[in-house]
Amino acid sequence: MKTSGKTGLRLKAWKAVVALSILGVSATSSLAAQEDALSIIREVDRRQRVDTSRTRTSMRVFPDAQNPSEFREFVIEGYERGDSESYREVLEPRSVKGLRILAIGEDAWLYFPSTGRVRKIAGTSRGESVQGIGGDFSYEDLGGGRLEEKYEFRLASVDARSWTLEGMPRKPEGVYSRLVIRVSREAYRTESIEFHTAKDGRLKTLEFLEYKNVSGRDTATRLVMTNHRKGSRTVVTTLSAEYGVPIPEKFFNPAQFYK
Amino acid sequence: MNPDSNLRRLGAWSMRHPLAILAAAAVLTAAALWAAAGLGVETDISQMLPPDNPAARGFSKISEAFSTTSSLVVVIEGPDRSSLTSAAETFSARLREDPRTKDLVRSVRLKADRSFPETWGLLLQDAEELEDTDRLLESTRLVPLLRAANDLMEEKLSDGSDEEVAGPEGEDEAFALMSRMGLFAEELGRRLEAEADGSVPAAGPPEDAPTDERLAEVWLFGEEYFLDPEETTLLLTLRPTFDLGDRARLTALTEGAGALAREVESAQRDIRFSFTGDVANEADEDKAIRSDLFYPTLLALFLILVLFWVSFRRRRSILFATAALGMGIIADLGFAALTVGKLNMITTSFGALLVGLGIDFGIHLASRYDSLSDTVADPAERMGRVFAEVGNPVLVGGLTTALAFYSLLLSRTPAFRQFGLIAGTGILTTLAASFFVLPALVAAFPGRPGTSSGRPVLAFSLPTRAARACGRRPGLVLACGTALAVLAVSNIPRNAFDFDMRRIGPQGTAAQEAERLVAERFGLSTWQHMAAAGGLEEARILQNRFKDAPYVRRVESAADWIPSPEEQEERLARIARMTDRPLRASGFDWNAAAVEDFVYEVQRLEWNMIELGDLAALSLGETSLPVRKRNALVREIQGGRAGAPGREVFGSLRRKVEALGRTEAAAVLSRIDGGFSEALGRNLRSLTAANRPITIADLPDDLRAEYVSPDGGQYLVLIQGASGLADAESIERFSGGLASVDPEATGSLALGVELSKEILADARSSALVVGLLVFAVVAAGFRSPALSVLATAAFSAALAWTFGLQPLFGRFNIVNALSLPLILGVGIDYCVHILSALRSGDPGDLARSVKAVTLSMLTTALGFGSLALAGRYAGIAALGETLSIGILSCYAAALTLVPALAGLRRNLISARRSPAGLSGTNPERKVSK
Repeated sequence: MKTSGKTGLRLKAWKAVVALSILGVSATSSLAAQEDALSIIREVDRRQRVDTSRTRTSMRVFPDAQNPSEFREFVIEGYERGDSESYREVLEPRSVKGLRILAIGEDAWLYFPSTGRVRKIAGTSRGESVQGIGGDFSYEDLGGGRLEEKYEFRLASVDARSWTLEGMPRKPEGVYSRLVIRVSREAYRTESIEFHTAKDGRLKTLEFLEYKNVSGRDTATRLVMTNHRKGSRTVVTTLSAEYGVPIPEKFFNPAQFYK
Repeated sequence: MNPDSNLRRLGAWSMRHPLAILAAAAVLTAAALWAAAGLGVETDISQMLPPDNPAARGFSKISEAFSTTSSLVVVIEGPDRSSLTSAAETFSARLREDPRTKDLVRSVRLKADRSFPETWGLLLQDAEELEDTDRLLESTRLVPLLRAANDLMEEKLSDGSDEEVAGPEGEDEAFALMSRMGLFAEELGRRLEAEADGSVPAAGPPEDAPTDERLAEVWLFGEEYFLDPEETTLLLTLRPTFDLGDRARLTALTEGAGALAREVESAQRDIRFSFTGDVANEADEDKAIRSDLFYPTLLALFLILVLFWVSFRRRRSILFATAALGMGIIADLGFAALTVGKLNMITTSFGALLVGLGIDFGIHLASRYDSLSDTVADPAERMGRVFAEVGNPVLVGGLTTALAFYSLLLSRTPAFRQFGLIAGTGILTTLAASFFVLPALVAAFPGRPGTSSGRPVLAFSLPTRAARACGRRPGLVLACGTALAVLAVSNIPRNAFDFDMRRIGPQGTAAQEAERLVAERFGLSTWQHMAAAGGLEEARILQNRFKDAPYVRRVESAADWIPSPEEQEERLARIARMTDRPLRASGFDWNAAAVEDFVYEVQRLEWNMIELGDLAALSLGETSLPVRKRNALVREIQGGRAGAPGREVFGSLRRKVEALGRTEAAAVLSRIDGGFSEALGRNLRSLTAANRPITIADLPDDLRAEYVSPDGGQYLVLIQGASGLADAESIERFSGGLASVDPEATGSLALGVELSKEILADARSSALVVGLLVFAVVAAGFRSPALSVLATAAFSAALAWTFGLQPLFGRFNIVNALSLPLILGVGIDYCVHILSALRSGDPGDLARSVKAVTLSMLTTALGFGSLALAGRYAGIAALGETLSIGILSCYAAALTLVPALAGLRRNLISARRSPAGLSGTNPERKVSK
């Protein structure tokens, strides 16, 4: 039956309203979802952020993740200030005891106690390991900075226990092409981060384990980074940590950090 | 006509025709001995695999294309580089001249070939390296050269990347750089002393004296020998002219090389030689197999004779049973020579196994004949009765055992098929010998009547009483047996398979000791693997992919020496620009300030080497080659403190210069610098003269023969494993990693893994087939499904006990995996004999059968046990161990569970017939059919 003109117009209008509503709902949902993703990441960042920290960690580097009997082990004392300043000193093994690395922004300095010399490592390659003692952790991984500043996140999935967020880099020259972060709903704990590159796909996975209250802060005291391409694994165990403590300026001074 | 009466007639017939039987046996034995003289030994694993196995196929393809890919690795230990290189040069020269070895050695890889890199060295460098070389060699004068080298090193290690000292290639490059700088400093120091003394030779071979040419070569090419970081061990590799199957030449080469090594050692007392690699390991395996063939068999025979001595009154019985056994084994040996031609690590054990298995037949017959001597006067009638009473179970037992072995003919693995054929036929020949030759001997040499010795013999009454007791208490025995079986079954999952072929062969050999030394000093495994490519580019691709495989330390191919056409084109353009550079040797005056600069640059070089070592310690670990080299060249570093002293080569050079004083040092260094600079310039001109791409034809003969087949159709990719290849899990991953790149990648360890997998699969499938066949034969023998089930149930419990106990003693491997069909065939015999005796209802039968089964168990255990104790081949010793566990378990089940099950069945039948009460629990009352 042919629809009359008026009825046809009303129908069209009604369809438009419905369509707009649907769009509106989607936009709202999308906005809401983005907000949720952003708010989640912000909360994660807020909980993780510290002004200063002093830590002692043990790092085990397994060149072959399936061969647990072969590994290199380091004990490292570290100081961090803000997002871009870090100092690390090797306490063990004995052969490289006293070796120090100072990283400020994109630059780094390496002190060799064996010769007493300091080498400046200019323009550190963010994707590379930290002169061997980072194991599977690269400068990019250890460098600070807020996640929301580097990546744009969306909520990929939700379940009763956790959120899964997908992050795309804001700058195209970033080391990773995508991050997938799983955050537990309980206390906004990061459970894992997958690091993806265009070439390798899923390149590395970082797991955050054994959360404890350390100096009043919820801290994952065991971090396990697995490099899927190389088949290697690095396990970092926090032996002690203090947050918000004053740190002498000399540790972040390239002319003094080795003295 | 029932089988028992046929057997009775057979026994009597054998007794009545002794001469004919013995004559035929003698002829057969002589013929077999003649055939057996040609029996060989085979240790090539690839021959044991199915031909369609990819790794075996790859091995055959490579062996055909390259005639041989095996090697003899010579390990020389000494106090310093000079002693080692001197010993190595002497040994190498003698190998090529000595009539014992010269025709057996195709090539000797003593040091890096210089002729090729002297011409084409720059073409082997990538663009970045060429840039660095050009910059480095802007001047060929000592001070600018050292300064440029130091600047370059410091820049490289300061760019934020640790690629310089990461991974196996980074490790090798850092180690090579340190070796080069350290050797240069030492050679320069020697030259300095010689100049100061005025003792510089005018000319001479560059390797002997620190001449200008020598210094220039060391600067450009570094260390040419294959030394460990501490310079106390040197490796050289021989390629033979034959393949490993040629046992005569294998022995000749190992003995000849060993003799030459002893001569060099006697001339240089501080030097020690050892040998490893395929050739040395094969020679050790060959010796072990031959001793495993002979000595355990002798030991088994001796122990069995002693056992017979204490078990039989009539010594003739002992001798005749042994003689019949011997003839049966010899017949099988001749059969083996005519059919398979060679014995391998699996089939070599057949002798001792047949002694233990085959003697069972003679024991049952001789034992029963012995026991009837007082009751049946006529020998023929007596033997007939023996055959009637025990002939059927002996035949059933023999046939099931033979069937168990013959089931291996269904295996995909040639090694298993050969073993099944030889062992199965051996069972039949020893069975036939027992049925024909033993009675014939008894008849031909009857002895005087009443001469049986009055000496006491073992009556084996204890096991008989135990069997009877178990029959009277079936509930308790079956409950215990079941509980043990359940416990054992829970332990069965702990069984594991050992894929490491090295643990199956002879242990504690000199070759294995040398292999451990190489792993410790060089971080390498001497077990070489390989793959074939159809062309150079395919080899290059394979090589790059193999580098990422687990436990791969190093990969070599012709692609290392011939870059791709695109790369060569780019590099030739770069080299052409280097040719145009102005004179590099000009513009340097030696004065006091220059001497100070020189000393400072040597100090910088030392710092750079120390820091390179620190970075290697971070990236690679404290035991890596660069760290060890740094510690040896300079000193051990412990953070900011010095540890154990090293050679202080850089400090030593500085001190030599400073000791001369500035003026004299300037004069001496000026003289050295002039000659060195010109020599380096000459080398550079030769290098920059390269104006065309490298081709295969440009490769030195030795290198080409190593990597390219004679017809040019196959390119070899050589893969060396890391020292971490220490256990079965790592070997399996290594092998799997190679196969994922190329399924036809091959080598001893990979072949061993493949053989292990094939045999494991075969053992599982053959066990099923054998189980069914055994049940069928047992059922045919008893003609009673109930009794067959009873025997099978007891035997199944025995199997559970066996495989539950095995994890406590070790893993399965390709040799003791053979135990399954063997235990199936042998173990069922015991249950069949005991059950037959119980079925007869005669108490005397049980006693006689228990004695026979006990004797049988003891001789079998001695036969297998001799392998466990006397076998130098660890795999064969493991076979003996596993079989002993199985035989003892089967014996225990036969003496406990069979009487208990028979007793239970008897009780149930009685209860059904007379529900008012059980009529008794004596299992020896006739068990109904």
